[in-house]
Amino acid sequence: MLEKIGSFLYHKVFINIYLKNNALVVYVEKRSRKGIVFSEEKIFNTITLDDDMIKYINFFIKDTPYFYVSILDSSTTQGAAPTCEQIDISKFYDRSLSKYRCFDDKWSYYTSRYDLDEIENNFSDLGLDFVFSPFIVLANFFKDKIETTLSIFLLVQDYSISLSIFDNSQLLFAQQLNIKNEFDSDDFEINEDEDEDVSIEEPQEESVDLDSIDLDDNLDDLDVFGDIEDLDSIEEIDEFADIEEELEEEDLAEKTTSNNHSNSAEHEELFDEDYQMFTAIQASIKIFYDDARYNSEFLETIYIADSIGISGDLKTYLEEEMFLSVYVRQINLSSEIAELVQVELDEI
Amino acid sequence: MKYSYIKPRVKSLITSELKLLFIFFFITIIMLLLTYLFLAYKDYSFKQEHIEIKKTRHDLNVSLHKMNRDIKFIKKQAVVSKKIFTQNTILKDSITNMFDLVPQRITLSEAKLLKNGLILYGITPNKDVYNFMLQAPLRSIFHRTYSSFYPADNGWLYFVSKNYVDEDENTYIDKEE
Repeated sequence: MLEKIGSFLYHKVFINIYLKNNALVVYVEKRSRKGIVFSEEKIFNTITLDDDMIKYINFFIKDTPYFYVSILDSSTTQGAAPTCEQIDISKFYDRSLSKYRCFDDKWSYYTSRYDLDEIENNFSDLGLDFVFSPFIVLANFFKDKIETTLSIFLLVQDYSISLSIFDNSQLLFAQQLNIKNEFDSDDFEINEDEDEDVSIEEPQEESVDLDSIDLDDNLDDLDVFGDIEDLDSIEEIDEFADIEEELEEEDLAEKTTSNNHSNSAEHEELFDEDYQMFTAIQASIKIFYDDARYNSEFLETIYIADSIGISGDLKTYLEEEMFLSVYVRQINLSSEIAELVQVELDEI
Repeated sequence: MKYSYIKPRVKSLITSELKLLFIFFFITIIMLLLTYLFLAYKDYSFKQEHIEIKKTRHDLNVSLHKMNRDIKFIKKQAVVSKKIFTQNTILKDSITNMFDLVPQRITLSEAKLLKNGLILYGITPNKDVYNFMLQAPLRSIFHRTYSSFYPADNGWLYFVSKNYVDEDENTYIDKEE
């Protein structure tokens, strides 16, 4: 009763926070009974809650008691498992160390309790109402496709990919791929701990710079690439190995002939990121095929929810190297999280 | 909680501003209530005091009235006392004067002082002594004098002398004075 009176008197304000380009995006949406009356997005060059952000958020929430702060979980130790049975769950993750929830009693998604506590602790000044898994965002975004196809579904964010494989609503496999962590984890940690006001461009500057690579060396000499356990599996694909060589040759050619091109460095960085994404996806699919815990099915289609604006290279790699039909759909994480919040509120 | 890892915080219709407002009103109401109670107590206390003062005043009035009555009574007593004292003085003087009138040869045995007269009983050697030495001054004092004699055993005479003053003449004399 009091809730209904409140809904007449006040707007609902959704504050959605997620990480993008090593900065926090704060999306504010005001909803009345008739619909959205206001929305705004602002990027803060920090990865932790600071005074400016609190001031900005307080400006919107000061007039209503019905505000909901949501965050998209970006922790590295999260994932999903193709079961909701407590006995089977332990095959995929440690229940005692994880917080998990079931989706339609078919599959479950989880995150580390430690990471969740850390997130709540980081936002203790503001308080949190909802913490969403990217797999839930993905499942809702591709709901129409998930229910009818056997496909790979990706949610591509900065430095992370949420990969899941669904067969007619049943999750077969899921993995959270942390691109930056695999290749440049130390840098990311330094950024988090030592410099909270990192600019948006900084991650690009700190990504692997092809200029600094001694092209005479083999790729195996690079420690960062040597750490990828599934690199060998990439080499198993002969065709890809050939293309890799071609790419290296192309890189060499580019290095030696077009140093003066203004776009070359940026292109190389994009190429590098797409390549990292591709290798990570490929490695993940390899796990799906090889691991006995999963019911592997032959995959022909991949749907990508793109939140960062990926280049065509990734699509090309996937199509040409893995023979997948690739469909890319742009996703607005802000509004997707807002929809999830609305679903949650409808449940209350 | 369908999708989220955590439960949303309970949202209350009462915002922090409303809370502040309610607290302010609550404190104001408490203060008003306390003021009302204080004034009510003071009013009750004042009424009680008023009743006590009225009672005291009544008691004092009663006491005052009694004291006035006593004063009046005492004043009357004083007047009566003075009157009695005066009368006694007059009587004493009268008796002294009366005994001064009696010559040494005549002996009184009884004297009765009346309101408007004097009755003397005594013994005289003879009538002449009585007539010249006692009756003469008595006649000058009283308007009417009656004397009677009867003989005693030793040859002397008992006498009874009744002397009266007429009120009218006395009043007249007073008026003249």
